[in-house]
Amino acid sequence: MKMLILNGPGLADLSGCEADPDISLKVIEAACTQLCATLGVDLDFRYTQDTQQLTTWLEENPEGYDALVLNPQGAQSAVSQADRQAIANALDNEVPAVEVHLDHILAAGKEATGPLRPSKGNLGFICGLGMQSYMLAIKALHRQLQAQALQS
Amino acid sequence: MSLRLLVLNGPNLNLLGTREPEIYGDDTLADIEARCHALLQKIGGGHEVVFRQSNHEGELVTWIQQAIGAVDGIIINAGAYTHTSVAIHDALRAYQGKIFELHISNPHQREAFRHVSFVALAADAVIAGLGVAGYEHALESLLSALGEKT
Repeated sequence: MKMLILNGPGLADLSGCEADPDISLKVIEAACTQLCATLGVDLDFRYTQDTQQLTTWLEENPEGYDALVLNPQGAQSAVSQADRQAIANALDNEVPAVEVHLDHILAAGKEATGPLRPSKGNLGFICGLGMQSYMLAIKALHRQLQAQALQS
Repeated sequence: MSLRLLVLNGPNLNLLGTREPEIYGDDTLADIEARCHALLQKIGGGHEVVFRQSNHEGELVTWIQQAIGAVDGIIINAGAYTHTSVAIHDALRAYQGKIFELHISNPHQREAFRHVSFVALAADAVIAGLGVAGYEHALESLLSALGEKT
């Protein structure tokens, strides 16, 4: 089982993170790596500041991975609506995917960084759990893939 | 410390298993409740969860009020009231424990009238689109957020 975790603009500096002020992307990567090792999942954890790079990774890679976790942007970073739509469009509806955010981005006043709205497939959504948003996404996707494997 | 948790379900969730199974799956709310109880047994620690479902807004408001000071955390799938109920929002604001908003599908991928959530404005976290397994995931995450090892 192979999992891709993609992190978009603004996630290199998490000093403004409300859910967990002491967090860093390195700490998140280490925790994801450890959890995936426990579950027997191969992990590819990536970060880019460039929205187009993020879109390219999404377009290039999905068939090589069984599941995708995507944090499209940090809570403080500005990504244009066109770029956000490009990211949503690049999601492959065949690969189970979960959008994650450290902070509760649906709280009042945070609509600018609101959820992606892909028109196809089923995108899971988790926000507000701090680093646990990633952990939950990994566990949920792992469970979903295991259930699918049992059915087939 | 053993925790008391409440899982609140809003309108039409009593139809789970029969209503639009391509969106919501084949499991009934009773199936989901049974799995949540089994999960808590497995985790240990004597935690308790109570499941409730109502098609009536006022009844949900009353249950949230009764949870004040009595329950350590609420998981709420308010169904369609998510997008309309200021009364549920206000009751949740009065509740001081942790609140997780839950949905089986991802409302942000559906009709525009589901894109606004009054529950989210009062909640601490949102979990959506993980199917009915989301209930167990939310339960485990809520225990973890309340400082319990799961």
